[in-house]
Amino acid sequence: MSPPPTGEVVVEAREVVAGFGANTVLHGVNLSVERGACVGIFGLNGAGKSVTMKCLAGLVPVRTGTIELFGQDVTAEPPEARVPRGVAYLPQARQLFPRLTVEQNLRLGGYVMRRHDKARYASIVDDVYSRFPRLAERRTQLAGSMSGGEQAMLAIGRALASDPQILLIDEPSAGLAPAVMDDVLAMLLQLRAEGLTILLVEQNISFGFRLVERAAILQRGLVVYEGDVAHLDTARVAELLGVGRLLSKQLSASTARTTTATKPRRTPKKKVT
Amino acid sequence: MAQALVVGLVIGGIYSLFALGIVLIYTGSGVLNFAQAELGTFTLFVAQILVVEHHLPYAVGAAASIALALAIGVTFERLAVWPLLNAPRVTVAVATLALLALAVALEITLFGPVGRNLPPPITGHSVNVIGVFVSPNQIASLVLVALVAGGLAAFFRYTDFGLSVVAAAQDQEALRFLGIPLARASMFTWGLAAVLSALAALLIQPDIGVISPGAYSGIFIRALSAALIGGLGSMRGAFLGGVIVGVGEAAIRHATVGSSLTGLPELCIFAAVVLTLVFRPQGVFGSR
Repeated sequence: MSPPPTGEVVVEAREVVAGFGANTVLHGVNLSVERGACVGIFGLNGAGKSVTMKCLAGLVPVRTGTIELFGQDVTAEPPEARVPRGVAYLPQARQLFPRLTVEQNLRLGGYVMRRHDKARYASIVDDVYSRFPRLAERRTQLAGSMSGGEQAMLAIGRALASDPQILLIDEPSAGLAPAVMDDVLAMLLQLRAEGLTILLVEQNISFGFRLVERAAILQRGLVVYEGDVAHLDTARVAELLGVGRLLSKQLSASTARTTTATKPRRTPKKKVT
Repeated sequence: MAQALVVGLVIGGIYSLFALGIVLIYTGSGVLNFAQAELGTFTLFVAQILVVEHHLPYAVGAAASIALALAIGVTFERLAVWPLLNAPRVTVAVATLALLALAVALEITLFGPVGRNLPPPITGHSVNVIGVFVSPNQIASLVLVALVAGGLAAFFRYTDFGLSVVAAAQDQEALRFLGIPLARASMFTWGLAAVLSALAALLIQPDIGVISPGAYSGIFIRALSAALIGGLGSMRGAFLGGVIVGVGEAAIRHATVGSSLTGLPELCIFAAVVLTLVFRPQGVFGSR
C-alpha cells in the first residue's frame, strides 16, 4: 500500500552513546531508516527508546557516535536546526501549549516555514484541518481544555504543520482510549501510505506492529534486532525484548489490541524512558 | 473622591507596567525578578543627569534611559539567566537579588546618596474634565500605558515571534523541537521587562519627586502585590492588579487623610494579597 522505500537512507545513527549524568542509557545504538519507510523502535521500559528519539531530535546530546539526517552529519546540531531539514518530533507527553488555541499551536508548528512562506503554510494548515475536521471546529479552543484524543490529533497536526519529511513519534498510543487509538492508527497509516517517513517508538506491540513494516528492538541501550516485522513471531519478540517465557505466554494469550506486551500486569505503570 | 480615583488610576496604570515586567519574567523564566523596580531607578538617574546636568532635551534623557535598560536586561539574561537555564529557579532569583544589590551600590557610588530632582517633561495647567483636575503629565501617562498595553497585547497575539514568547512560558522544550530559537524569546522577555521598568520609572517620577538609591523599593512591593492579586501567570492580571492596587490605595488614602491611620493603604494592600493567596492562589486572572 505504501510506495516502496527508495533505498535512500534518511536517518542513520551509528554507535550512539548517550545518557543523563552518570547514567548511560544508550550503549552504541545503530539504526538506519530509508526514505518512505515506517520503522518502529520497541523495547522495555528503560531500554532507551525515547532517549534514542530525543537524540535524533537533538534534545539529548550524543556523547560518542554520530547521527546523520539526509546524509548530513547533524550530531552537534541543536533541535531548532534540525526542523528546517524536515524533521518533526512528537514527544510522548505531546507537549502542546495548553493555554494557546488550536490555531496558535498549529501556527507555532509552522513557525519555521511561516518565516519565508506564509502562503505554503496556509495550504498546509488547510490540509491539517481537512485531515482532522475536529480541529477545524475547535480552532479557537485552548489546547489544554480539549479531550485526550483531540490533543493527540492536535499534536500530530502540529507536527505536520512544518511539512516534515520525517516524523519521529514517541508512543502515539499512550493514554488513549481504544477507539481513539484506532483513529490515530488510521491517520498514521494514511500518512505512511502517502510516503511520509515515520519512525515510531511503541510499548504497545500490537499497535506498533499494525503500523510498521520494520522493527528495531532495543534491549538495555543496544539494538538487538533490526529487520522486517514479518519475520517476527510473539515468542521471538518476547525473547528479543528480554522478557523470556513469562511474557511470551501473556503475549500469545492476549488478543486485545490494547495489551501492552512489555509490561506485566502486576507492575504499576511507570515510564522510565 | 473622584479626584483620588483618577490619581489612583494613573498610578495604578504605572504599577501595571512594573507588574507586567514581573509577570513576563515569572512566566518566561520561572523567577521573581527582585530588581524589577530598582532597574528603573538606576536608569532614571541616567536620564536625570543627561537632562539636568547636561541640559539635553527630556526626550533624549528618556530614550537613553530606556536604551540603557534594554542593554542591562539583555546583558543580564545572557550572563546570568541563560547559563542557569537548567539550574534550580531559586538560583536565578538570587541572581536577580544580586542585580538589585549591584544597582543600589552603583547608584550610591556613581550618583551619590543624595536625592536628585528631574523636572516633569510637560508643564502646564491641569484640565478640568467633568469636575476632576487632570494634569498633562497624568494624561500623557494614561495614554502611554494604554498604548503599551494595547501594543503588547496585539504583538503577543498577532505576531509569530510574540506568540513564541508566550509559548516559551508554557513549554520551553516544545519551542526548541518546533524549530523556534528559545534564546531569542528569553532575551526578548528580559529586555522587554527592563524597558517596562525604565518607562514606568519615568512615568511615576513626577509623583514621587526625589530620585534616590532604593527610593522605589516601595513601588516594587506594590507592583509585586499587583502581580499576585492579578495572577503571576497572567498579563491581563498584571494590569488589573495594578489598577486595583493604585485605585484602592488612593481611595483609602483619600478617606483617611488627616487621621492617624497613615499606614492603612499599605495594610489593605497586604490584606488583599493575603486574601487572594488564600482564596484564589492563582490570582484573579490566573489559571491553575
